[in-house]
Amino acid sequence: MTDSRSLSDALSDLDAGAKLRVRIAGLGAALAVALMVLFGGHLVRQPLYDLFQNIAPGPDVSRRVHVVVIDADSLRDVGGWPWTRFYLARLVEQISERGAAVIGFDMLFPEPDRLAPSEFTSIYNELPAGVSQEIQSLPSMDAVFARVIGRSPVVLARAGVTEESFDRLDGAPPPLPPEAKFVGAVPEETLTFPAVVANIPILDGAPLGHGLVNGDRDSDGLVRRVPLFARAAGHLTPGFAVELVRVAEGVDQVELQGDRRQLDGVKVGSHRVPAGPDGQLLLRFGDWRKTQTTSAVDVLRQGQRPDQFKDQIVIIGLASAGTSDVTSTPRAKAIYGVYVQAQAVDSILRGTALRRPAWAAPVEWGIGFALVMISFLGVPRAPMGPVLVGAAVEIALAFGASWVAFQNNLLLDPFPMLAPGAANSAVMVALLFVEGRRVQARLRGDLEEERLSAARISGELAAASEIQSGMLLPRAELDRISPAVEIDAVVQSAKTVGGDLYDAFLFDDGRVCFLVGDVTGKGVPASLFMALSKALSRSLLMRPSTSLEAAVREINAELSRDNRQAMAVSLLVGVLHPADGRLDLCCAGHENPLVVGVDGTVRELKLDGGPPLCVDEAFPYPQETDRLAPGEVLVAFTDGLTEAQDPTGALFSRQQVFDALSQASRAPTLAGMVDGVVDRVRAFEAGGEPSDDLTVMAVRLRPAA
Amino acid sequence: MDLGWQVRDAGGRLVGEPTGRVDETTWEAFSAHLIAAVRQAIAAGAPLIIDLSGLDYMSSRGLRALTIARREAGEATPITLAAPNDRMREIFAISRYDKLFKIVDDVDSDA
Repeated sequence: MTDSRSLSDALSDLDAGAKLRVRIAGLGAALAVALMVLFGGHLVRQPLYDLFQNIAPGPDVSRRVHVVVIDADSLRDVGGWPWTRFYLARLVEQISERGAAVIGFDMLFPEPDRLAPSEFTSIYNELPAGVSQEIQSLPSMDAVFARVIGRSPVVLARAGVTEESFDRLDGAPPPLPPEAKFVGAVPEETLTFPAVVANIPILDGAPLGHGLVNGDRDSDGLVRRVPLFARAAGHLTPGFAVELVRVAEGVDQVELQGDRRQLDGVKVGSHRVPAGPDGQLLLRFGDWRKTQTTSAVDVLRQGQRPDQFKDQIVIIGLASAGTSDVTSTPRAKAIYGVYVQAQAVDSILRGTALRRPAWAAPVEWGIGFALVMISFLGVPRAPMGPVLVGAAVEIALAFGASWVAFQNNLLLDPFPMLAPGAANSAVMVALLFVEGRRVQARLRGDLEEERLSAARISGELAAASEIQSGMLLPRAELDRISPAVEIDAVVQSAKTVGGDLYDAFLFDDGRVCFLVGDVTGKGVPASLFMALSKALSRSLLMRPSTSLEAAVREINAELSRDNRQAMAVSLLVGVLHPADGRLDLCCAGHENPLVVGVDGTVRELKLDGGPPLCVDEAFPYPQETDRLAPGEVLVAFTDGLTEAQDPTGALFSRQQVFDALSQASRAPTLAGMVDGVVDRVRAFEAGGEPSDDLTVMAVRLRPAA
Repeated sequence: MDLGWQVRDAGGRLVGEPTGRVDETTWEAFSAHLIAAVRQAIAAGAPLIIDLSGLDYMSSRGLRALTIARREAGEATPITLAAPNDRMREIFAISRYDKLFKIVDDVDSDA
C-alpha cells in the first residue's frame, strides 16, 4: 500500500466481519497498551524524565547552602576516619562562630568516641592504678562534642531502617521524639520505617533538631527523591533537609497541606514545597560540582573569613574515597550523599522541586482517549500520508508539552496521551493491510476460478466445434464425390459452434445431391439442431425411389416432431443430373441460389419454395426444375453472405453479391472461386465481427473428357 | 433497442402495432405480445392484423415469434401482416413467410 493510496479503499472492500475485526482489534490494542502504561508506565516515563534532567538541569545550588566535606585532604592532615569527636566539636565551633544559621551532620554517631578514656584504660590495663584513674576522670570527647552541639544550631541525622537492617542496634533505647511539630493531616501513604538508627544518647539529646537522612534508591539504583517527612520508629520525623530549613528559619512547625488522601505540599516557615503522595520530595538536579564546598581541614585551620558561613545552611558530610556515602542520581553516576541533601535543601528554599499536579493524570488520559477516538475514526478513512503526518504532530505536541512542563518543574507524562492511540493506529493499519491483502487474494482466486471455468467451457466448445466441423465433408472429399460433378464448399462460423450446414452425396445412378441449410438461432442449441437436421436430411434424401419433394416434406415432418424449442432450419436441396444438366431444386425458406455464367453474368434461380422447415409441419414443398449448362456454376449460400455488414453497418447489397460472384468466377478453380467470394465478404466487413455464419457452396459440371 | 407494442380494436378487427426493432434483445417481448394478442383475438372472435409499419427491422428471431404465434392461432383466427418495409418484405420473400401469412400493403386495405 503506497502513501498516496487511501486505506479506505481497503476498508470499503472488506466485508462486515473483517471491518468489525479490524475495529475490535484496534480498540483492544488501545486498551491493552493503556493498561500497560498504567501499570508499567514508569519503565518508559522514568527514562524520559531522566533525559529531561540531563538536558534541562535545575539551577545550581544557591550560595545559601554550604557543604563542608571531610575529604581526602582532611583525612591526610587530621587522621583517618572516624575522627575523634574532638575534631568534630572544633569543626562545629568554627562553623558556628562564622555565622552559620544551622549546621547539619549528614552522618550518624551510633557508637561512642573511639578515644573515650575508659576505652583507653581498658586496653592499657598495665597502667598504674593512679594513672588509670586519672585518665578515666578525664571528660570523654563525646561529652565535649555534645556540649558544643548544645551551644550551636546543630541538626543531627537519623536513618529510617527496616527491622532486618544490620544498622539497627539491638537493645538500643527508643530514640527521643523529634523536635519538629507537625500540623495538618498526615497522609495515609506516608513513608514508614519500622526502626530508626540514631546517635548515641549523649549526642542525640543535644541538638536543635533531628532529620532523616534517607535518600533511598529506586529499583534502578538511582536516587531521585528524599523524604520531606516519614514515620520512623513510630515518630513522625522530618526529613534532614526540611529540618535544616526549619531550624534555619527558626520555626517550630512543619505544616502538612492537604488531607489524608491527597498531600498537596509541605510548608516550613516561609517555604512551601510540593510533595509526592508518600511525602517525598522529587529532586530536579543541578550540577552538584558547583555546590559551594569547603574542605573540613580548611575550616579547622585558622585564618578563614569570620563571615564565611554567615546565615548559611551548612551540611557536613563525608566525601573521600572509601566512604560509604556515595550514591547515584539520574545526572551523576557517583555523587556524595551530602550533595543530594544540599540539593534537597536548595529545592525547598527555592521551590524548584518537581511536582506532579493533581490535574495531570485526568488530562493525560483524557487526551489519550481523544487520540484513540481520532485514530479509530480517522485511520480507516484518511490516506496514509495524513495519518503519518498526524501521528508525527501528535508525538511532537505531547513530548513538547511534557518538555515545557518539565522546565516549569511539572511532570507531564506523554505516554498515556500517545501510546493507546498509537497502538490503535498501528494495529488498524496493519490489519487493514492484512485484510486488504486477503480480499485481494480472494478476488484473485475468484478471477482464477473464472478463467479456469472459461477455459473449460471454451475447451468444450472447441471440442463441439471440432465434432461439428467433422460432420461436414472436407473440401477434398467434396471434390471426389462424383467424376462428373465438381463441388466445393466453405463454412465459417461466426461463433465457436455454428448453425450452418452443407452436405453432398452421389446417388447410384450418378445424380449428385447437394444441400445448404441454416438453423435459426446461434450457439450450442443451433449447432445441435444443425447436427440433427443434417443427419436426418441425408438419411431421408438417400432413400431410393423417393422424390425430392417427398423427401423434403418428410424431413420437415420429422424435424417438426418434438420440436418444442420452435427451432427452424432453412434448407436448399438440389439434385444435379450430370447427363443433361437437369437441376431439381427444393427450397425451404432459403436464399435462392445464383448461377454464374461462363462470361461472368449472374442470374438468380427464382424458386417458389416454402417456409423454413419446422414452421409448418404440413407445408407442401414443391420441387422445381432448372438446368445448369456446362461451365455454369451454381452458387448456394447462407445469410452470412447477404447480411454481411461493413463497420458502418451497411449491408452487402445484392449488386455487391453479384459483383463478388462475377469477379470470383474468374478464378481458375472452383475452390479458388469459393475462396474468392469468402475473401470479398471478409474484405467488405473490414475486420469487423462477422454477424452470422457464412456458407458458400459451388457446384458445376466437370467438362466432358 | 426498445420495442413498443400497442393493440387497438378497429371495427371488429384486432390490430397489433409493434414499433422499433425485433432482434436478439427484443424478440422475446415481441413474441409474448404476439401470443397475448392472438389469444385476445381468439377470445373476441376477431381476425388479427399485425401492423408492421412501425418496425424498422425484424431478424430471424422475429420470424420464429411469428411461427409461434401462428401455431397459437391455428385455425381459430387468421393473422395478417400489414405494411412491412422493403427490408422486411425481402426477408418474408426469402424465408417464404409470404406463403404462410397474408401480407398486405396497408392495415385497412383488406378488411
